[in-house]
Amino acid sequence: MRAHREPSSEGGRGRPRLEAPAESEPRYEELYQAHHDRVMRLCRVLLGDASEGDDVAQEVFLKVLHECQAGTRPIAWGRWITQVAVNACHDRRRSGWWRWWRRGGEAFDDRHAPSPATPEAHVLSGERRRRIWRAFSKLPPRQREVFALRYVEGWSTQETAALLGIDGGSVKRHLFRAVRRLRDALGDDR
Amino acid sequence: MTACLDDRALFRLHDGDGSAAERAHVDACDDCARRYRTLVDDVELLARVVRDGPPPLAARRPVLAGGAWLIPALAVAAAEVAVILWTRPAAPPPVRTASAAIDISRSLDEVSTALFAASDVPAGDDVAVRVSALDDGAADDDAWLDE
Repeated sequence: MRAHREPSSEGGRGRPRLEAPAESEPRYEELYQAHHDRVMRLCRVLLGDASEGDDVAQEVFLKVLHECQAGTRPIAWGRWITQVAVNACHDRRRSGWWRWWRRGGEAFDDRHAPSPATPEAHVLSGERRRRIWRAFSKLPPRQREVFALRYVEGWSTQETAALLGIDGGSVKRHLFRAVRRLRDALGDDR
Repeated sequence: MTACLDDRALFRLHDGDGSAAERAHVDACDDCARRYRTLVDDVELLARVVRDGPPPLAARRPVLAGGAWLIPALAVAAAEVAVILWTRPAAPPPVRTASAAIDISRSLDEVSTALFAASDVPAGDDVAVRVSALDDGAADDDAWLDE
């Protein structure tokens, strides 16, 4: 029995690098290479929109660049960048323009959905995938953040709690509620 | 432990927080073991779908329904009013009608005073004086007739 499972790390999407080497401070290019893909994915997931997510990811790396140029040295770049990304998405969602833009606009398009490459992807394609994403986009922001950090990013409960500034018990509660609502969206189609 | 676990307990177990007794129960109970496997599969499925990213949105602004059009419409209307007020040509100075009426009234009074001043009538305003003055004038006229 698997009592505890960290998200799989297949496809190079495993656990983010937590610490930068203490002696050799990474340059901006190295940080970009190491974190860009996961930050972009995290922003896309948190905002539910690829183009908006890419936009916010650019803002995040602009801050990383400024931080590198300023010469300050966060102890853990991975954690710092993740925190900046989560806050940037939070700010974007709170902006009045964003809320107006997204009002009633959660309909996902079928026409431009990528064609499934594998049988497994085929199973996940179509209505089921849209149903899951509709449910995910309707989750409260905190539940969405917890789910993404725990199961998409692979942070532990305590790390997620530290990133969001809440306690571990709250992380577990938000995660349980998020999973319950997402499972409801699955229905009997399992 | 004999009672079956609820969803929260199963999720705690999945998250690594379950007790030894709960683990033992899931190992022993077919129903709980099946529910636990379903939970694990569901979480993996959900995480995979979310990790793959959101599907494209149907349209950036599909409809401006439910009153959403009201704010931009009001903003446009306000902007138009502002532009009209800003670009409107300077209007001629307004006519001060009240003061003009007073001036005219004063002028007419002065003209009236100048035209109809009874300078040849003796001071005083009683009718007798006026009548005698008229009579004197009439006598003069009659004298002229007599000549």
